[in-house]
Amino acid sequence: MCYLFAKEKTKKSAFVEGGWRTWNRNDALDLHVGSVTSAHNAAQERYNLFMTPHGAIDDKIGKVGSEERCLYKIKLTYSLRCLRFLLQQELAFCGHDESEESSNRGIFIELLKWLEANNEEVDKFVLKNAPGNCTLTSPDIQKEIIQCCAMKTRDQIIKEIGDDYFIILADESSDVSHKEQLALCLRYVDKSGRPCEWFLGIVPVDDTTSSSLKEAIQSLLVSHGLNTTQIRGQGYDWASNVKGEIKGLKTLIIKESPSAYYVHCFAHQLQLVLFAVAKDSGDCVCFFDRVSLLLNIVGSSCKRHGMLRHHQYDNVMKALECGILESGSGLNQKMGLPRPGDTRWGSHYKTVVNMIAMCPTIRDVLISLGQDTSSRGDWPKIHTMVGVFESFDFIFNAHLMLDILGHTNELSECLQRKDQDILNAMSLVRLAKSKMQHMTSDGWVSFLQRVIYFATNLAFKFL
Amino acid sequence: MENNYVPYGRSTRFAPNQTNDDHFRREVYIGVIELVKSLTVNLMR
Repeated sequence: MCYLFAKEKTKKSAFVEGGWRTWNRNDALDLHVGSVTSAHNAAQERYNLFMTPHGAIDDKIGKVGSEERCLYKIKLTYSLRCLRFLLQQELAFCGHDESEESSNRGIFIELLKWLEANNEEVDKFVLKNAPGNCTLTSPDIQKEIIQCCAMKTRDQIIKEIGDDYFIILADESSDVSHKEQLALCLRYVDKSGRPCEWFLGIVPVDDTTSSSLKEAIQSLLVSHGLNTTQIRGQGYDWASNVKGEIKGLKTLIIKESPSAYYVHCFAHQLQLVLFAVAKDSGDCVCFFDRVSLLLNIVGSSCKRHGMLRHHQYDNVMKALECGILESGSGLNQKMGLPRPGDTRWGSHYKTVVNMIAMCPTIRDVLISLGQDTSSRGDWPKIHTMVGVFESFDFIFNAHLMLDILGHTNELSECLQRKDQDILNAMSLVRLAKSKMQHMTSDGWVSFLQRVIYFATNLAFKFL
Repeated sequence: MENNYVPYGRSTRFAPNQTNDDHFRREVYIGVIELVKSLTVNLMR
């Protein structure tokens, strides 16, 4: 009995393990039985429970009638309906203050309240009219229901894949609390032949070495009953721990399923090309550094943003009066100076475009800031920036970047589109290349003229 | 264009001795475009 009903990890005596040999000691049996909390007595109790089910106190107290069960089910249904609505709208559940007196008790409870107020049927069962220990609205319950929903969704996805093949897409990022997490998506062809792409889950990873990433992916797949040999393709960004030929994640997975072809995220690749250029060429580095300084000065406060808008408005009005600019819907829109991000090169393009379009305005703002006594602390920075801004180096680099990013922008946008047309993309790459070729062979003179024209128009003095 | 290139706001110590034409046309303009081109070709592979 002690052998059958012994809990794991409890200290086992000779009875349970090897067999009893010391027959000569007549107190040995008593020793084994021991006090009330001993392993033997615990095993005895488990045995008794096993022989007579529903005998335990817990069962007797917690016995629920079928009527109560029905009530419970109704309450759960309403909670579930609210939850499903929130999940589909991707809204947060909890509020800041969920106590009874709070006027806003969080979206979930407010939604339930609304439902209750509009439907008498519902009113009978939920919130105030539910028993205090079973309202089914506490955060724990909410989380539990969410978990169940997630599980059901995943099951559905897995069922659709079945024994077929799929592609994994993965990327990792750190969240607000600085925890590295790996998000995994699956792409597959469903029964009716349409390609599908679903998010499977997030796995926390301790570090980002290729082996731990692989383990994380594998454990997630295996826990959902998928096999790594079913993988027929992989897509990641161009991080070195992934792309490596010898120990990269891609190679590790190919070892397990040899036909898991690696397709690189196209949009990323082009962005990284441009990124590499900006990091390789000393003048580009200098240019973007100065751009970010400029943005720091002009965009540092709302007041300066306001100045920028104001000046821009004045300039546009002036130009309209002189007939230089044409008016029309969609033209002369308000422009801001967006801050560029390293992995989003569209943002760099936009920054450069707006900067060149708003060049006189920015200059005016800088100059008036440089004379404004209230920002005297920033004067050294601002005065340097005016100099930089009027320098030929800066204007030249800005125009060069405008041209290059302009040529590649279309390509980049095409590559970022969801329904990827590879042939079209290839022809665009070729087009961009031939444009570049044209620029090197006979674009120089016109380019220089454009820059000089632009600069003289603004009456900058240099050269 | 035939004068020596003087970088704005940076020390001439780090700039090689070259004319404006050399710097703007050969180094920056053609250099950067070639770099983009060569990397774009990699993309097609």
